[in-house]
Amino acid sequence: MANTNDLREVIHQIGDQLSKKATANLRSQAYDSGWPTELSRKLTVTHLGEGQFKVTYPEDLEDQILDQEAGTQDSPANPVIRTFMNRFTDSTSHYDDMLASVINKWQVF
Amino acid sequence: MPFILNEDKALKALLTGITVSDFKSNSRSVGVWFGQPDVEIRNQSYPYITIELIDITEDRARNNRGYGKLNYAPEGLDPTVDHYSELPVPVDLEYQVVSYARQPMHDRMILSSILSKKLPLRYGTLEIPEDNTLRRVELLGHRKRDTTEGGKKLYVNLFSIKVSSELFYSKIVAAAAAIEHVNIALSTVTNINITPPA
Repeated sequence: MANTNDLREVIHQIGDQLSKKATANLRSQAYDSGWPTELSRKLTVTHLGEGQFKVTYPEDLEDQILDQEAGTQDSPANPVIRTFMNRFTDSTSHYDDMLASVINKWQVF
Repeated sequence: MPFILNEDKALKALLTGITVSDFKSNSRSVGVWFGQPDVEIRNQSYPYITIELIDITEDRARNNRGYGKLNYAPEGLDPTVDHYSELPVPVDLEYQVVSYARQPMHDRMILSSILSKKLPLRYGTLEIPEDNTLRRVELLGHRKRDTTEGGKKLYVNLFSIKVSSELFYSKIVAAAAAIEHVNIALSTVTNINITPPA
């Protein structure tokens, strides 16, 4: 039987694993969509806890990233973050599955 | 018009009609474009709004399977009769609406008009006359992106919205009409003796 700390730790690990995978996918999607490499490689999917994920990037690159994402008067929008996150909600079911298997295995309840 | 084109047209119609005013002009209408207009045009037409379709996703929360009666008559079909089909696939169309203005007063007027009337935070709808439906419009977010262009201040608002839609993949069948009259022609019946085979 696991204690609360063990469970917290495993939840944290599952979220981190998933966010690492998602970060790699997001970066490759940005690169494939024509985003500059220096911007693509700075995108990160961060696990906020309890299965909540968010795309983060350095503050000093915000303007350049938003110019790519939303476009400017001279360039059309090239939305990568929004399209990625729209589909990412499907893959977070993987998070729930992993968590459920741990809870069953450890006979938490 | 088919899927997407109807929503595009309706969204443009919804956003058209915003007016702003200033000390030079009592009423100036705000143009609406799909994507950025040419530099020559936009220089003469501030303030203006652009619409861009940025994503199409299946809405799994509204998904149903099976064969059933449709709640509305899809475009081109008789709205006075019921229609049956495989249930349509629900999809969300995500649009980006951006407003550009040179004057802060215009910017505030556009912002006010969009948030209070056109794309409200609650109960936003988009009327599609082609199939006589009201679609849900969700305002996903708003972001201020003011910038400077050629030494002049440019006031920019970025709105992300989601419009609900449906896609049909199977044949749509109109319900059979109820029988109102039966005409029977009576004729003389002749009895014929038939000998069954041995």
